[in-house]
Amino acid sequence: MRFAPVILAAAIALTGCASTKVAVFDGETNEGGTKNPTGAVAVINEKTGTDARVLDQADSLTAARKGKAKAKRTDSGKLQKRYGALLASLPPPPVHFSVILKRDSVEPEDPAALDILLDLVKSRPGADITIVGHTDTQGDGPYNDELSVERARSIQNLLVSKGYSADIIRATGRGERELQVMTADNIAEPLNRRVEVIVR
Amino acid sequence: MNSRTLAMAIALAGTAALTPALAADSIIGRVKIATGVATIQRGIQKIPAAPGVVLYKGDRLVTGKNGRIGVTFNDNTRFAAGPNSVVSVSEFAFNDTTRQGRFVTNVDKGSLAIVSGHIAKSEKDAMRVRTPTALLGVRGTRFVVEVN
Repeated sequence: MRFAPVILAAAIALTGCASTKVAVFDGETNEGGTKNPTGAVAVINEKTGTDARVLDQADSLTAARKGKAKAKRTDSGKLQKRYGALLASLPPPPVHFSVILKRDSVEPEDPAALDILLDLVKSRPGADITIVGHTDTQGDGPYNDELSVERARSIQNLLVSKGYSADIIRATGRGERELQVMTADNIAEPLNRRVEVIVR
Repeated sequence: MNSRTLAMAIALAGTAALTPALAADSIIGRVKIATGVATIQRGIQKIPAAPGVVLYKGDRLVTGKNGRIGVTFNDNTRFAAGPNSVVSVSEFAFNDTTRQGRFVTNVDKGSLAIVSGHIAKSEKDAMRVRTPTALLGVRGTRFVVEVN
């Protein structure tokens, strides 16, 4: 009988006094001034597999536990106080830009197009670069999938020859999935023959 | 093969199984910010977090009292783990071509800010966050999960 309170306390500790809180914020503002969508999180009821609640109000705070959600009173000032430092230690958003390629070659049309990479990489600790190749709609899907990867690889090689470390560069392709200029199938369009360079 | 060579071959094979080669294309993201006591745990390895440190599926971010770790993933998702936190990526798969994938994060304790990327957009609940008391489906961009 003497051990009962100890066992009870231990049982409470084991079943978890852990609480989960979710704070939802406004989307970040892009460089161009446009705003990203607000955060939205669904608290899922695992027993039924459905959403118990979708939290999508900016500056809201909710306690979630075992598939139930309970709103907590707060305001943007309190949330900034509690989470401001955390939000400030998010890495900067990735930067991306397009490089149009010369016809029948895999060099940039503008030889200086990649110059801005130098400052971008220098100013981002632990920077990495992903090159995404794209094609126009000439040729079929699988052909363009391969071609787009080849384009990305050529630019990757170009960057390595300029002194960038191969370790931080990835080459991928999206074929004809993301046209810069919408065209019908099988249409040559120089503006679609490009790579997208993403710096994280 | 004599018995000693065989024994060595078996021992080496066992070691190889314990430390499989981690290919460049299994990198899922990179540390961009690290302050204070901040470590990446990978199996029994403990790697100090620092800008440029690469991450693989299964890695655990562990921070101490003043620790912070900022990470950017291949799908453009960004994390910031706050002090006294334990966060692990139990699942990460991202197809660069189709931009679809799967991303499951466990926040065992502490705080994690998330700005979601392509995977969360690709399909409902393709990105989820698990805590000891909740399962969250990521549907939008910026939010914080705190567990205490």
